[in-house]
Amino acid sequence: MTRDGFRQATRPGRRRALWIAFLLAPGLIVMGLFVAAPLLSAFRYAFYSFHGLAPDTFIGLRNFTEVLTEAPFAAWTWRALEHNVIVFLALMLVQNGLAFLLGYALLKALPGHRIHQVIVFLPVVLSAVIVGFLWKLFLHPLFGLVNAALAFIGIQGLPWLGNENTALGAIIFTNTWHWVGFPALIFLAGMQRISIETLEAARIDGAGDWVLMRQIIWPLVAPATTIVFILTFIGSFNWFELPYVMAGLNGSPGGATDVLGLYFYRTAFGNVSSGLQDFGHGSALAVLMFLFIAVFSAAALRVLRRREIEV
Amino acid sequence: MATAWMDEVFASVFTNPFLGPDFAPDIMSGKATFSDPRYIAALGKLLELRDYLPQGFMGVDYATGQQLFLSGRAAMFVGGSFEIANFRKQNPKINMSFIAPPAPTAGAPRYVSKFYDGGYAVNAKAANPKDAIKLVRYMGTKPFGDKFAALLGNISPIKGVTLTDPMLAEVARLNETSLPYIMAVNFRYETPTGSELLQNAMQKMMAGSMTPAEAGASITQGVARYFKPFQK
Repeated sequence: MTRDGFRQATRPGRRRALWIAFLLAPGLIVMGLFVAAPLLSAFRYAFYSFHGLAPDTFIGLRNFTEVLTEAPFAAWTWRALEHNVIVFLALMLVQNGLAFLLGYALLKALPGHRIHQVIVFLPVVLSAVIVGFLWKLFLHPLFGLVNAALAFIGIQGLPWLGNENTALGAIIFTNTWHWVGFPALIFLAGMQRISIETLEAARIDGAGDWVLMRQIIWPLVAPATTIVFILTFIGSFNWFELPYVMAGLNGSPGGATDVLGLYFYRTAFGNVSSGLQDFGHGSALAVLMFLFIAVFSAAALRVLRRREIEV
Repeated sequence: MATAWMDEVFASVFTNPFLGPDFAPDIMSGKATFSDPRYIAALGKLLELRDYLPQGFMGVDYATGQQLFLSGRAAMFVGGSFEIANFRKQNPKINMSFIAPPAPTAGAPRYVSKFYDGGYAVNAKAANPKDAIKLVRYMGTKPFGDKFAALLGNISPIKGVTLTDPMLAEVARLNETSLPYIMAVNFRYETPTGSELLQNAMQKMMAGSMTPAEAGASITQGVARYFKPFQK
C-alpha cells in the first residue's frame, strides 16, 4: 500500500472513531459524574469513621463488621435484608404471577381487551409517592376506604399500616397494584412473539388453557421472565419510595417494614426525628447492597439465560 | 403511633412524672440503666393509656393525630408548645388549653418535659464575624425574646420575656417544674441514638410485641455501645 493509499484508508477510520467518541462522551461524562464517582466515593467512605460530614480516620473493615455483626446494627441489617427477601418473593409470586395471567388474558383478545390493557398499565405511570400517599389514605384505620368497605359488609378492619403483621403485606399489595401492568405488558409482548402456528398446533392437539400456558407459553416466554425476574430483583432490593411514604424512615411500626433502602438512608443521612448522619456505616451498607444486588443479578441472569429458548 | 417520633413524645411526656427528678442524673452517672425498675414501671404505665387512644391507634400517624385534635375528633393531643401556633393557624376558631401530664399521686409534682430544639452559632470562618456575633448577641436579649414569643407563638428560653398570650404564659409556668426529654437531650450524638432505640422499642411495646422490661433492656444495650457508664 502506498503512503497516500494508507492515509485514505486511515482517515475515514480515525474520523469515524472521533465521531463515535463524540457521541459517547456526553453519556460517559454523565455516568462518570453521577454514577461512577458517587459509587467510588461510597466505597472509600465505607472505610472511614466520620465526624460530621468529613471522613475522619481510616478504620479498615470496621464499619462492615459493625453493621453485619454488632448489636444493634446487625439485628437491623439482617431484619431489613429478610424483609427485602420477603418483598422479592412476594412480588415474584403475587405481582408477577398475576401479571402472567393478565398477559395471557390480554393475549386472548377478549372483548374490551384494549381498554383493559390501558387500565392495567395506568397505575404504572403514576409516581410512587402519589400511589403511596393514596393507599395510605385508603388503608387509614379511622377514615380509610378499605376499612369503610369492610365495615359495610360487617367486618372489622385493622390498622393495616400500624399492625406489625400486616404492614409489610399492605405495602407489598400497594406495590403490586402500582406495578402489575409493567410485567403484564412484558409477558404480553413475549407471548405475542410466539408463532401463531405453534399455538394453533397445540390447540389442535387438544391443549386447554392450562396446558397451553404451562407447557407452551411459559417455556417460550423465558426471555421475558428473565427480564421480569432481574427487574423485580433489583427493584425489591432497592425498595425505598413506597415504604418511605407509607411507613416512614424508621420502617414503622417497630421496624416491621424496614428494608435495606430505608435503613441505609436513615443511617447515612439521618432521620430528623431520631438520628444523626453517619456516612461511615451508611456507606458500608450501600456498598454491601451494591455488591449483593450486582452479584446475585449477574448469577441469576446467567442461570436464566441458559433456560431461554429461541422462539 | 405510626410516626415513630410520636412514640418518643408520648413516652417522654408521660414517663417523666413517674420517673422523677433523680432518674436522669442517675442515668448520666451510670447509677441506673434503662432496665431500672423505675423506668420499667413508668413504661408499664404507658400501656394503661392505650385504652384512651383512638381505635387502630398503631396506624394513626402524626399528621392524622393533629387533624383529629383540630377537627374536634380527639379530646387531647400529646405534643408540645411548638404545636400551639400551628394549631391556631390551621383552625383559628380552636378553643384549647395546655395541661401537664398526670402525676403518680394526687398533689405530686406534674413535671412537663423539655428539650433543646435548636440554637444559633457563628461559623469561625464567617465572612463578617463581628456582624454575625452582634446579631447572635441580639438574639439573646429580651427584645428579641419578646418578638420571638409574640410573632412565632412559642416559648423563648430568654429569662424575663413578656408573654401576653395566656396559653404561653401557662406553658412558661408549667416549665418551672420540668424534666428533660432524656433521649433528645443526652443520647442524640452517637449511633444508635437513644431516640432511635426508644422509638423502635415503644412501637413494639405499644403494639404488645415487646414487654416494658424488654424495651428497657434493648435501649440499654444499644446505648451501651458508646455510653461508657453502661459499659461496666
